[in-house]
Amino acid sequence: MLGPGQWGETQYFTYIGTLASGSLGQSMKTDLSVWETLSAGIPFTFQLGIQALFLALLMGIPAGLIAGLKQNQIQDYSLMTVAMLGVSIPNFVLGPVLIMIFALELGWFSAVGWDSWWDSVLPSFTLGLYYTAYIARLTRGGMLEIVRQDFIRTARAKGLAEQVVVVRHALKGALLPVVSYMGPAIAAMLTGSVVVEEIFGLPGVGKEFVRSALNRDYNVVLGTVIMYSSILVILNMVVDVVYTWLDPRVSYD
Amino acid sequence: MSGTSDSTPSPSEQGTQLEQGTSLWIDALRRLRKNYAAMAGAAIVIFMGLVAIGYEVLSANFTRFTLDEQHPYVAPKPPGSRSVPIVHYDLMGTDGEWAFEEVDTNKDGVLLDREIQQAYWRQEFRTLDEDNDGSLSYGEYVRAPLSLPPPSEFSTDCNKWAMVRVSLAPIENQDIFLCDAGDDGRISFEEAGKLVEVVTIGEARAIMALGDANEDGELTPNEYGGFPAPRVNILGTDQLGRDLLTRLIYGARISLAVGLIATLVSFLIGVSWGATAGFVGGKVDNLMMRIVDIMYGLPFMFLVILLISVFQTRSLFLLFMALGAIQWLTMARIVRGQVISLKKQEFVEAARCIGTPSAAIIFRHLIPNALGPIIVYSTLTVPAVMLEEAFLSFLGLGVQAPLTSWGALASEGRQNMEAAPWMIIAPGLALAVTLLSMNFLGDGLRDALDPQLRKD
Repeated sequence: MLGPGQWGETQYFTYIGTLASGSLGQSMKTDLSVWETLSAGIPFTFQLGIQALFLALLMGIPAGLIAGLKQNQIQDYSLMTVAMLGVSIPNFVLGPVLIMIFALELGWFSAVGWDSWWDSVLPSFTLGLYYTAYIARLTRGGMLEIVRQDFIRTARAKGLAEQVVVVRHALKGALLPVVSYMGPAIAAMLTGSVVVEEIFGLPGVGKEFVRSALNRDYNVVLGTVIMYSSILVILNMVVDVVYTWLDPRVSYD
Repeated sequence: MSGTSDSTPSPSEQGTQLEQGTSLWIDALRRLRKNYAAMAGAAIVIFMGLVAIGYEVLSANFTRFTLDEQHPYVAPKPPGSRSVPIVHYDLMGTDGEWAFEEVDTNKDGVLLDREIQQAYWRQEFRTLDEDNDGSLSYGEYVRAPLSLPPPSEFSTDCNKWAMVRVSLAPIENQDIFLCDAGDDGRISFEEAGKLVEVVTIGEARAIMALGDANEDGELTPNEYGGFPAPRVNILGTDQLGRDLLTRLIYGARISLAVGLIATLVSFLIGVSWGATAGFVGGKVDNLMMRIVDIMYGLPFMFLVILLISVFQTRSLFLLFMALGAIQWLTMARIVRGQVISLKKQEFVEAARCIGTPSAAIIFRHLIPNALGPIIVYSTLTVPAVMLEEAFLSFLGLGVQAPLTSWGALASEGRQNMEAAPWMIIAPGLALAVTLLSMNFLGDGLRDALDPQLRKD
């Protein structure tokens, strides 16, 4: 497949045929198949992504809620300034700075490699900070929009406690922008994990991907792109389903 | 813009100041001026732009290093290190900082290479001697940024001490103050040794050769034009001994250029695509927007990396195109939405009635009226693209040597992180500050141009 001396369309159909049979083909530089090359790294990348995502949701949503509820107060300004910083610091700057401070100076983490769960804290934080900040901004925006709606006024008017209004009535609607951001966020996290794996020396899919791109091992590069694209398409569908559940006004016929 | 009533009535005609109207743009500018974060962001962005444009001027007059000029000692040096003047630097003919008599220590009326070398060493010593008392105290000695001598030259105790300084180990023990041969607690110029040896004898000869017209190994007062002081690496040097500030300024040029040009590419594709889809409507619109939807679901940075690895050339042009080609999707959606809401308005109908061709309606009437959201989104696209360029360069897939960008500099910095933390801090800070400013400016523009979109 993708051999020389064939017409472009022959190569194309051969490759599609290989894919249809459930294989990503053979690495062009090693004896391993593309799947064997990538599968070793999947657990690392997967764990990194999940942890970063949880961090982003668990920190970003509360921060956004507080900022939205205390609009134009000190909590709002301080949280949103931090969020703006988080969105603006590239992870390949954040990562090395964190390593310098927490691994080299303080010695709390190992600078390179991944021997225990503890070592995954810095990489997950590096990967997750941007999304934490972005989700905080989205949640705040959604919250500001929703608290002006009539049904929130009704809920308050009938004397519900503020927590009930926020959690039961407002939260679901305020999270709509966050849910629709999940698809792009996961795509960007897969991309971001390439850099984070590179910085922290983790043997994940991203590191293999960069190595293959630099080595011109096209089958591995193409295989990674196809694998990631498939994951994303599926995840986007899941997001769409969750969306209709959160917002019954949206329906897919 | 055209189509909307943006005429500013003159106060004299109206008779009173109160009735003066404002156009959308003047109003937006007024709101933007009140947004201090956005104005500060704009100032920083303009400053960065001027720095990027002025690279040649700054490198010749301010940093006085060129992009690839290497220090003879190939190792990173900390910020504030002094660097020897190198031979291809135009030394002669500049306004002399040192009088001939000052350099001519043996008062024989001519300058020898050894005297020129000593002049630079004395200059270095004077810089270290902060209180100008002719000798170095322990504090002055410890604070001295060191020009790194080659390891083979470490022989005396003083040089061992120098070696310790270079390895950046914490020095707490005063006993290490070994250079003080006279044991009086002060270091004289003679005792300072390697600490001030910023110019080798070979370099001194090369410098002298620039003015030595009759090649007799001596400089007469007529041949001597005066030497400038050693230059300072304000931000230190990189792992090859190149001035970091100069490279940072050049990196600003590449990073900003990629940001602007790729945004322009995405602007052209996105606006044409979205405007066409919105204006034509029907099946064409459906097809064009489904293509956008499908592309939205793909991990685009991976496709860029795929493109770059397949095309093998790492040209800037490809980078501009590839990054621009992945950023136009949102732009197309925004423009389409604007065009759909605008095309039903009377002025478009009027234009159609007088027989204006479709293309002219799109480009003369619809797009100018949709310009607000387009400008806002473009402003926010620039930092996004710069971040992507930095990401690619960091992985070694973006800008290639001899060019450099902030991402490429950060990449080099990471590889030398332990020995030379300034190498990643400087480009990282430049990038973060610029991105932050652009985001503030973009948010401010959005709030100013479209108060309804405002999220508070």
